[in-house]
Amino acid sequence: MLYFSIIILGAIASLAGPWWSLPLVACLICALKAQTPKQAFGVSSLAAVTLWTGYSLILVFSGKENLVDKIGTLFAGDSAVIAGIPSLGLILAIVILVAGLTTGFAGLAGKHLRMMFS
Amino acid sequence: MKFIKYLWSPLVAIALIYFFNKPLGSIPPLGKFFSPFHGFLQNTTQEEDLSEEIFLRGVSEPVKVVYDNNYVPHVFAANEDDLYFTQGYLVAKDRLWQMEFYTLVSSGRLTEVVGETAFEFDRYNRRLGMARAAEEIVENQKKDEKAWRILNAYSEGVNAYISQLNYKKLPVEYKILGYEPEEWTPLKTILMLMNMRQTLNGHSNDFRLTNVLARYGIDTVNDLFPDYPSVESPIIPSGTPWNFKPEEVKTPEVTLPPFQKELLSQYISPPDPGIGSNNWAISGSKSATGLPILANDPHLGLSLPSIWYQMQLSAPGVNVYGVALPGCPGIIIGFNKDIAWGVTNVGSDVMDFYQVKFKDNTRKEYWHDNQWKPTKTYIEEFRFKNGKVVQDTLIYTHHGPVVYNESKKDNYGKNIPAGHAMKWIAHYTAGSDLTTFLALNRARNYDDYRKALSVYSAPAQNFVFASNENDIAITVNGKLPLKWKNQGKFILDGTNPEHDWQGYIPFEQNPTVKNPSRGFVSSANQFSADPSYPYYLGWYFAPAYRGRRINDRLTRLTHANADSLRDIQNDNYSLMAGRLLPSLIPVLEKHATPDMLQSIRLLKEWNLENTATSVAASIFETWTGELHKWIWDDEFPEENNMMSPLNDRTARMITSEPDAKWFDNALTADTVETFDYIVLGSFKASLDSLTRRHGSMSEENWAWYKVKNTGINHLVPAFKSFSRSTVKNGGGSQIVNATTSHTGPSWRMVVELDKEWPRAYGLYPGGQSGRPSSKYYENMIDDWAEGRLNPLVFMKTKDEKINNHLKNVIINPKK
Repeated sequence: MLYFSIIILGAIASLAGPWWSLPLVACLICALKAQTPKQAFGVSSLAAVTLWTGYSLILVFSGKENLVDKIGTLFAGDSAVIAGIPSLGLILAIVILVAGLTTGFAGLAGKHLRMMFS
Repeated sequence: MKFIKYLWSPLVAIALIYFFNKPLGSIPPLGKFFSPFHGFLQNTTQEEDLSEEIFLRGVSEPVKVVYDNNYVPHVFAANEDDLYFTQGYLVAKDRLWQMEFYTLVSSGRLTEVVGETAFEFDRYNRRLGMARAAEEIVENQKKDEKAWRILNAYSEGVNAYISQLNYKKLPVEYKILGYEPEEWTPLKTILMLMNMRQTLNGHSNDFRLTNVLARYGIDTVNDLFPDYPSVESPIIPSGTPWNFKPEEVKTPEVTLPPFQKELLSQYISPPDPGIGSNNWAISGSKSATGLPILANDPHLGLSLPSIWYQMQLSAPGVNVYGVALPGCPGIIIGFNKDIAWGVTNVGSDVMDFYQVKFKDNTRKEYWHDNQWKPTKTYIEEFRFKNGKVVQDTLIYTHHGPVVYNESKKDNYGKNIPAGHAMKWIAHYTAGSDLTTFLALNRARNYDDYRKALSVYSAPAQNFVFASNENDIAITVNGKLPLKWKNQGKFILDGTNPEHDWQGYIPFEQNPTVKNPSRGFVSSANQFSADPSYPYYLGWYFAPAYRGRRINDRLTRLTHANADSLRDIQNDNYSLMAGRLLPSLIPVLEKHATPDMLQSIRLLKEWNLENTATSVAASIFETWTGELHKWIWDDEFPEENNMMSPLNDRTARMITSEPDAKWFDNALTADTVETFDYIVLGSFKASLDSLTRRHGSMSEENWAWYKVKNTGINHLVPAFKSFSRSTVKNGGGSQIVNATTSHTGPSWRMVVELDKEWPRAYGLYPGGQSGRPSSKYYENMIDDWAEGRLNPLVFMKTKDEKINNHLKNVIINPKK
């Protein structure tokens, strides 16, 4: 339930607000609903990764245009090691890292704040 | 205790959000950029996606825009304000990032978006005084009611687009570089045009040639740097009468510069041999239809997004098709129902340097006309991306800006002498270049063409013209300074008023020709006229090869159609090889070593065509570059800021002066190198260099397109994945099909005039969209490389049915 509410409310907030709307939503929901800090972190993180990678993949595969390869190559720069990773992989790795970490900690923060004040 | 136990996680969360919300060096903010709701992936959803009906505050009546399937908008407006508003809106929609970028370059503000790395480049552009001149031009434009209205309507259109943007919708370059667009203004349009003045007129050899003069004396300069080439086919055909009484130009007693004891130690880049253009028009006597055909291909730096944007602009009083510069209202090169026009650059000398005598180190006063005169001082402020602010003081004499006060290694303009004031046509602020183009858009005949040209100032262009009244003409046009012979060939004396520019050649006396007996007019940046022209324009113009080849082919042409002219635009024949090889090959044969035999055979069997796959062209082009160095580098080393003799003079020496002393390497005191030695040595060095860079000789490895390596790069060179490299085409810098590694025909157009309706063909190496993921980003490159042209859709009315229809968009007034 927690998982789906973060995804749904997070998506709505992201359509209107800035990128950090998602961690903010996770923080609020976890403050209200999360059972344990561990759950707050894990579910928030997982929900964010699901939402961002899911929507990214929808855009990549439904879009008529490909920008992933160009951006991937740009980010790889002159590094041969990074250039060896498929662009989509590289980009999803960054997406997972950014969404997972920020939203995970934001969810945890929500639970912790609740515990602090209760 | 509880406090510490629970507060660390909110702090970590805030820190992470903060960290991913800001740029990390040159890496964009990862949070924003990779969020699928906001970042770059949103840029792939925009697919040239104007809906069929949109509402904008700014148009007074509905505007119909018809897109053809090359994504070219055909705009039909009920009045001019709406027309230029819509042009601004549509161009911004496809090219906003690019147009703003150009203005940041010419106003020296790149540091604000890319940071400190651009500082020296910015400082140089500020010191050229382009932004200051642009501001004065804007003030002058305000007096011209019509031009001012158009400039403002255009700006409002651009701003209407900008106001619809949020981070999600920003062009991806803004997202990567991490900044946002500013409001557009008429000043920005003028700054855009300033860029063209800089690209086409912003170069000089004065300093480097003065160093040669100081080292070798005037006799050598006269011998090696003559004022007119030995072989030429000038733009205005020899024998054309000059029906005017020339203005008097007073030559001072002392014309050479006052020498400093030592060579001037620091030295604007010499002209880029790849920057130039071709244009021509044939009269009805040479065409199949009996009416003129006009062709133009301006050679500029090749870039993505492209420098040009195709459009049709129609409103009561105007219906014109052609290419616009992103950021500038109207069509720059194009045609309408009755006429067609095109431009190539005039290579006349319009940038000079004056040695200034300052009273003291404060540089507050300078000596001129036997008195101390006050300088003007401006403080330039640079804002870096990281917030740092740096100031720079800029000094002006009445000539113009002193670009550099001191010789420093990191000065960006290497050919600009320190402590010298610059007199440059780009600072000319009267006249209205924009009005010229807007008038050409509406011109119906030869008289309209002449009238349009009369208010033009810079960069000087060869305006070619053809009309369906069977007139053809070409005019070398712009403000051309009145100069005594060789004025500004060297550095000038800033204390002597006689060394100042004496005014400008009256417009009516600029070189021009209408309906010449040879049945065509043409230009390829060569000398404007032969020495019988009563004014001195300069000593350095593009080598004659392209011009001569075009004129040879046009002379032979009969019953031509658009395809015949397209074929000439793609001509790959090397006149230069034809001139040099008969003198060079015998030397090679005399001394050949076995490893050279195959290359020599290829050169001998070569049809002198620089085709994409030619190996001989690779050898010849590499070799002539090497040969030039072998002959001249010892006496005229680039590192000492010396200019080496031009292509034509070098060719004359190779073909008819094999005993010239210049073949001897001056750096080897005890041996005397001969012509044969230099020819053979440079040939061997060229083969070695080709092998080193491209592997052993084979049709595959040494194909000309690989060696030439034409790249069409994004305006930010580091964005390699937004660029195209190694385009498979032929050509060369002295070839009519003038492609080099980084320059080439930036737009090719051929127009068959007609009494009823013209037929036109054209394309440019890029695409209409500036979005790197769009299918219209680079869709024309392959056709361009193959030398094909697209039929251009020129609609008669807004309701005409066209074959290549993509979609219609109606822009309605928003209440």
